[in-house]
Amino acid sequence: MHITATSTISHQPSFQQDHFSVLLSELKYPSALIAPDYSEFIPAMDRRRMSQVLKMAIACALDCLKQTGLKQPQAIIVGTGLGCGVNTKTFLDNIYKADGGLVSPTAFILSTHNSIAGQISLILKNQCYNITHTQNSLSFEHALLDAMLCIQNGDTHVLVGAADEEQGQLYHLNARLNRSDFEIASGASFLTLSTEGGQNQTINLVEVQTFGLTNNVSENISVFLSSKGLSPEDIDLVLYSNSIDHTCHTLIDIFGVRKLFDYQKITGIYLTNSAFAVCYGSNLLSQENHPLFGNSLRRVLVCNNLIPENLGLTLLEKKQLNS
Amino acid sequence: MENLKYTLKEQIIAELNLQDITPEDIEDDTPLFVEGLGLDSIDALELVVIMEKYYGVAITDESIGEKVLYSINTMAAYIQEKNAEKQ
Repeated sequence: MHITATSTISHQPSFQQDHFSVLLSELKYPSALIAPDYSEFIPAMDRRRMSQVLKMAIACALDCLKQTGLKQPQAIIVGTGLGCGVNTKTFLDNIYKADGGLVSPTAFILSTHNSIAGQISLILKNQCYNITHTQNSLSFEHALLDAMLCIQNGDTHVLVGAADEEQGQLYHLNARLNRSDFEIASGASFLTLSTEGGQNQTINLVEVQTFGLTNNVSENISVFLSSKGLSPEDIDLVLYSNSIDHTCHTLIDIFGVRKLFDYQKITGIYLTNSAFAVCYGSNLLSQENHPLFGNSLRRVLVCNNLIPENLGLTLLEKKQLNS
Repeated sequence: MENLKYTLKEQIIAELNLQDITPEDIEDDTPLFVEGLGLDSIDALELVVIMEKYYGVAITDESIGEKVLYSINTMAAYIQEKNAEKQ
């Protein structure tokens, strides 16, 4: 199945940039989300209630559809680690301040994890399959798996993505992740998966697999690659995230240091930043004569090990057509 | 009464986060919902909260709510009526 469009909003100039993978550099902290003018995507009467995570996701979703010319996807699938936690906090704060009185309903209505996928469907007036996956750092990978199943079951165009936003309580989580060298960030990344690819070249989503409570990343990767008849030598670039140096050493042992790139250097930390990595990998593969990689990239592996016991593996592959 | 109406407009704009709208843009007799200001059912709940939070006026009956929340004029009149009853 083919990735026919990607769109990502991040702390980098990534949104609506055809060649965004060329424009990125290591984040300098403190950094801020580079948000587009949301009025171009969301009517004012809808936008007034939305938190950042909703606006980011909707803008990316609509941008993907615009790129493909697709009016209605056959499924809208979203992964989010913490959903609309900012609205949840607002609602809880309001309850505390109301002291038993009436509480504004808006923050509560938009506080659930599935608000993101739901709001996309409301904006599009789409009544197809609509679901949200929230499994901590593997939320996006599970959304991708669901999207692949939809395609395998006969859908031709599926919108899938992920979004998470910076919120105060995440700084406690960051301490738990033991990654004080990277800051908490926000981001949304969406893509369209289709049965039909481009005319000359296509980026394929080859395989996605998740491993929970893993204690052997090396074996997991070996099994993953073997299932596709591949070896580490067949992988040209590994986009990885990890929270402990041990994983990095494992990846060096498998792939060699020159194939590795820690994508958190450009995304910062949030639970679904692997969605950015997949869009980034897809963008890298689609570039001709990339300044860093030239035309040498054929396969990119996204290795999400943000939380040590969770491993998500996503394999992308460039295919030349009509050649 | 005019001060009350103006304050109501300011509170509605702030609580409903109405963007690019000023109190002067809201006519006293313009319907607040659908064809007027364009508010929806979630906003109706917010207006009920405004009435209770700022004026101590509860709206517990849906049919009364429909009439009271029709416009700035009807909201202000109901607040005055209830305040008069308290005195």
